[in-house]
Amino acid sequence: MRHGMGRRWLGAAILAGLVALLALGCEDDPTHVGSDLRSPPDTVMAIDLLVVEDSVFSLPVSLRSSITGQIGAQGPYTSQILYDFRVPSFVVDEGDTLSLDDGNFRIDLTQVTQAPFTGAMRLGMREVEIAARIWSSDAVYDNTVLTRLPQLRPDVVAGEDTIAGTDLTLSEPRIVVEFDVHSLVDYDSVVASRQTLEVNVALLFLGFTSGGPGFVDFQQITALNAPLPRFVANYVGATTTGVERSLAPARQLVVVEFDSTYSPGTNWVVSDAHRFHTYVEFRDLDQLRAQLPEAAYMLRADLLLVQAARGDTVFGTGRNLGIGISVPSSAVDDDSNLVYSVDENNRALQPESVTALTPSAGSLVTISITTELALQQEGKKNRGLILRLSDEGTRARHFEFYGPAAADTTLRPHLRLVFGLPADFGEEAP
Amino acid sequence: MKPNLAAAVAVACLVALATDKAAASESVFGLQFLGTSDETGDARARGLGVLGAALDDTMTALASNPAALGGLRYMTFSFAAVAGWRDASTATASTQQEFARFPQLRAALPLFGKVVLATGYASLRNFRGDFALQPRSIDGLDYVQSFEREGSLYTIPVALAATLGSRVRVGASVDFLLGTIDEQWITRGPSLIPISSGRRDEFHGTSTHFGVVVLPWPWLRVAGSWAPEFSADRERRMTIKDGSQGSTADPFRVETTNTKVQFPQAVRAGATVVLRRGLLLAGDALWREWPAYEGSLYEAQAVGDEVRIGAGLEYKRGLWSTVRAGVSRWTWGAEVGGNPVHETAVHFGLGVPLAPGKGGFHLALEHAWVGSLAENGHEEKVWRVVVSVSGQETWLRKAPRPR
Repeated sequence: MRHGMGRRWLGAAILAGLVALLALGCEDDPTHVGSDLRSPPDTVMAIDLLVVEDSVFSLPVSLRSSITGQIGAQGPYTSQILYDFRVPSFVVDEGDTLSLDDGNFRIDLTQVTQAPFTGAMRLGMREVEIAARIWSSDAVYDNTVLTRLPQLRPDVVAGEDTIAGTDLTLSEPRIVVEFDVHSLVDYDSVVASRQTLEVNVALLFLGFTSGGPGFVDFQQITALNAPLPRFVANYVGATTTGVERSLAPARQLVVVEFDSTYSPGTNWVVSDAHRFHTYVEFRDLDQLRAQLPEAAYMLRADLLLVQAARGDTVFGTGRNLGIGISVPSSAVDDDSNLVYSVDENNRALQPESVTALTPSAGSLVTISITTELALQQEGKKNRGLILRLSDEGTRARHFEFYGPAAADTTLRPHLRLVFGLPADFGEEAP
Repeated sequence: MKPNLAAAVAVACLVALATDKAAASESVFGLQFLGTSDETGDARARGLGVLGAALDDTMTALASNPAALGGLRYMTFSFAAVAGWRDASTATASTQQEFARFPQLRAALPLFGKVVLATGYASLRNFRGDFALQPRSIDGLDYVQSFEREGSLYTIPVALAATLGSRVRVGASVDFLLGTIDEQWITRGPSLIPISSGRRDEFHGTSTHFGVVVLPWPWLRVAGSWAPEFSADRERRMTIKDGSQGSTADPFRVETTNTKVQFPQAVRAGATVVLRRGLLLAGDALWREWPAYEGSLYEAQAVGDEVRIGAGLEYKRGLWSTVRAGVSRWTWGAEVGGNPVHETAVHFGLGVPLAPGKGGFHLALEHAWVGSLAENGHEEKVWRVVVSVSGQETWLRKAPRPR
């Protein structure tokens, strides 16, 4: 009996040890030992492809959904802002009826650590012509891209404010424009009839008093989509000195005007607001067969661009600023004009292609387009690529890259393809 | 089912589950040709340094000679497991890796008269191995290429053995060959698509194996077996696919070819001698004619005859335990560095047979020296632990009288 028990314990111990060894002892990381016993695949190779055809075209975009307000000017872009306030012509306060007497326009700015421009810019406000106030109607506001400010009345309805770039580095920076409500076109009749006064105005960029160019960028809506700029109305009565009411605009819209004399020359351009896109098409991969075995497979494809320096025209900031590519749909396999429709240009960017971008003349920008080119390798038609900024409809931003006609050939855009070759496992024929 | 047999089945399942996740890079030399040999008897044979050609054990179904099954008197379920670790070296580098496998699982059933029917699973070759090349870069993009090899060749043997008279046992098996060799080169880099360029050879065929055991005197057993040449079908799939870790995506390129592969004949022969009561001498040899093999060499430089000889002593001490020791010398079938690969091993073993009709278990410990830096450019030192377990139960008929 004692022998039997001993055998069982011994057997159990041996088996437990074996199972533990089997279960736990067998996860190894590969080492180099043995690497000379098998033939590796041929060396990975890189091939450059040059552009076959390209085009640069613009498709202005509305900034109505942007959380960013912007005023100022740089390059061919001038940003100004339309506001539509609905201001009661009177208020009742402690039994007194008080009438609208004056007001001011305020924007609280964000303090920054570095002045966004040198010198100072002059700002003012003018009233939109009555007939042009349809910009804030649903039909126009939602569906129309304003590339120019609507017609404005010549009368000055407000004072001016001058803001220096360094003002934004100070505590609680703001834009404040004093308002003369009496000079509004409807003031007398609206107050008399005790209706709501439509303060439909434009905050204008009146030029740089010194320095420039640049913009004042600020947050114009909250995370809950509530507007932040304010019209502070002052009401007075027969016996009271006055009370203030702060009102948010019913509508606000940044309008970016574009200087039509601008030309990109031979450069490729991507921009926001006026929105330039660049269409580019490289040679079909099939044409690489003279250089590359048909069995080669793609490991990476990058579009390599060099940022061009064109004075002060290259600019842009933003949290999510990036550049990427989209691919025209099969519905438009080929467009002889190389200018694709808005829908085609609004196709989603390929996520892997989105690359962070900052203005830096001469810097190399590498955009991964591996997935698209790998699909082309496996038979998908080459439809070219549309190059554009990510997060469009935010504010005026503009980037240029040397194009295929750049005088310095080393700066021209090209496609770098990295290929590997299938392993033959040491045998010429499988 | 009796407790012994049930326990053997349960432990086999447990070990099988454990080995399911186990890597088994048993030898750096297994990166070429048809990997490493899994050919083995049970742990009793391994403890003696032999394959077991002449060990017609009445307590295990793990037999390398189908005729040896003729000695079984009970329904028997047996399995063997191998685990160990190895140090592989080149002139400039070395590595230590563990391995674990489950090479044999057999069930044997005495039928009417003196016939025993057996079937199960027997692994023949093992292909697991891997290495990585030194990191490289192209155009500033870093990448690493690594090689992975896995798979096994195994058979589902269906064997019949019979005792003819009192001095001869004969056996034959039809072995259904199955298995794969998966090889892939993987290119990975932080900025590259991970791509695997793979080759998968899938084999299936049927072979035969004939054996005889002669018992001229009670103290001597002489045995031999022959597995003739046979042809197997090989389907080869060349693929290009996603090389991400754990990817199960379908390959995006596939090319398939089919061919025949001729496998060589093998001869095994051996003898056991009872020197005196409780002391057994065993020896056997294997010869496989790899030059007759017609198939891919998987980058081996050449192939030659595979020869293995081994011998050992077994001393049965009392009723409950047995000790064993042996030596073996094996010349592998493939050449590396222009020379054959030799394996020299010392073997030790313990055995705990249960009473007749109950089974038992055996344990073997081996230390082997494989290859040499001077002749092959690589060498290995290997420790292996082999365990085999058998459970037995009476089945229908009255068992044949043991000799």
